[in-house]
Amino acid sequence: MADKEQAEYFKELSDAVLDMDEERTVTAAQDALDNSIDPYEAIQNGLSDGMARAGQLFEDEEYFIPELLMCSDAMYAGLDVLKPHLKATGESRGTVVIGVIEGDTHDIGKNMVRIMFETGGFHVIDLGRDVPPQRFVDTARESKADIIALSTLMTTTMDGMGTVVKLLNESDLRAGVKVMVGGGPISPGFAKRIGADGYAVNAAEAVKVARELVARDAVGAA
Amino acid sequence: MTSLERILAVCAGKIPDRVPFLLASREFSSRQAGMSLLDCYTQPERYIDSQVRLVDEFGLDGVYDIWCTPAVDELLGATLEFSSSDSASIPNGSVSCLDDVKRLPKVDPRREGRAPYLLDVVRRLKKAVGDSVAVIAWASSPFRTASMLRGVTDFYRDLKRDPAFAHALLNAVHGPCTAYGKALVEAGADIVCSSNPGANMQCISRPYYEEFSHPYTREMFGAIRQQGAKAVMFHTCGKWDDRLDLVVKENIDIVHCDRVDIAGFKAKYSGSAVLMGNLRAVEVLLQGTEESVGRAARECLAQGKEGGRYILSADCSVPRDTPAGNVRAMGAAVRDSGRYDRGDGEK
Ligand SMILES: [Zn+2]
Repeated sequence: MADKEQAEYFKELSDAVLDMDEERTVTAAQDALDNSIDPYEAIQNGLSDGMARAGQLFEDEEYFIPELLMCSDAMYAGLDVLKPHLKATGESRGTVVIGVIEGDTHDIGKNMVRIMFETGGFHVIDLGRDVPPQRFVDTARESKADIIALSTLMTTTMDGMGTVVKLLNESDLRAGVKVMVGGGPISPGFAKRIGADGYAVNAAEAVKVARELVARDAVGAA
Repeated sequence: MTSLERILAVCAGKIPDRVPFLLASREFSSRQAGMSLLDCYTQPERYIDSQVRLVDEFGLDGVYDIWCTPAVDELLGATLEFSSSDSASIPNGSVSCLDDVKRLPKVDPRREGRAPYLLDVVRRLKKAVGDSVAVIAWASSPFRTASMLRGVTDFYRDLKRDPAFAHALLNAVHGPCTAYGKALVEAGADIVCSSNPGANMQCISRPYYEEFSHPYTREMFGAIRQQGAKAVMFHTCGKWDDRLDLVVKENIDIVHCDRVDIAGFKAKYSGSAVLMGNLRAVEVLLQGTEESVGRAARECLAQGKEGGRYILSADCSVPRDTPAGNVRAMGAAVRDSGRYDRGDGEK
């Protein structure tokens, strides 16, 4: 099959997600399958690409949360069509444990990051707010998580973020679990200081960073 | 000039003796008093004392009720989750279809649920501080309450998928939200304050704000004004730059701004609203030193003071672990650099 043809299927999937068109995404996904397009590639280069473009528009303040949710609904609808045809596993990019430690009066930041993770193909466990540091570590152990994400918009939780890293260092999990932090008062310098593995300036960036962290880990393990 | 007179002067476009000074201080005051946020809901007298103490100790011009407690949402069927260190939250929606909207109970905030407790705190706060100090009390806006009852993400989806349903829900909660705001005034609140971080520029587009938030808040705040509120305040939590022109048309007297350029805001909107803000709550007030807080406060005053229509404050609520010395430094700055000399008053 010619490359150009494949690229057209991917583009249609990507565009349908970006245009928030659930029906069109389902049709495009079915169409791709009918024409022997590899479902994994259709997810990666089609659906995920559309979601990444939506994330960019969100960053550019052209898309907002409702638009992002509709894109993600379209993406999931397409995923439902393609997933049963995946040969191996690999539909999930990894598991993320997310939550706000304590003292934060806003959780919209965390919720936004959660949506972005979910739409970015991660399995997300949301611990909500007022979560003791130890629970992040316990949940990461139980769920075999790849990432712990600590997000805040306005906070007094910065010490707690350091505590999570410390607890993780003291556990036997550190090698397999990456910690990422982000939000209003958090700086890259702070992230480094407390020993976090990643820092993201906003929700869209968080997913990019998470993908890099998981990919880097996979390379390291190979 | 009393504290309340000072605030009302800037609302009326007059020049007071000095720039008023307010801080959304629920977390800070309860921490100062050694209380957890949960204690606020069982020990009213301690919470009231904690607020009164701030006025005496830090020279604030007003006290706050147990703000951001979604009493109306609870009356309408939401289940609140309380935490020792964070605002009460509503983890799950309770409205999923038009029938649920039609079944929403008729509520009387003066008699039911947690609302009477909150109203009593307002009543007692007013009694404690008297006529001279402003009592500021929080009321949820229809958009906020609707998204809580529906579940935040589902409500965002509704805006796109089923705008008629979103409007039906907004119309249904508009009455109870307004009734609670009016009851706050009845209980003695001088200023009714509202906030809605979920409708900022990071969440919804301007056209959606204009359709789903703006008309409902404008009507609600108008009714609260009619009820006799001395002023209505709105906290623009997060980024609101592209919709401030709409906010100032919502029957609002004071915009408590997050991150805006003070001089820029004043140049554009001083004719419509008083600017309150916006020393950085986390980076400066919480994490800074007394010196850096004093410097930042003077910078705010340098930009905001001229011509009145300005209240010194932080850009959001004061973090609970903020050093008392930093808040004192802010108060000191407003007392020495916030003064209006005789003669630079009315033209
Ligand atoms: Zn705020």
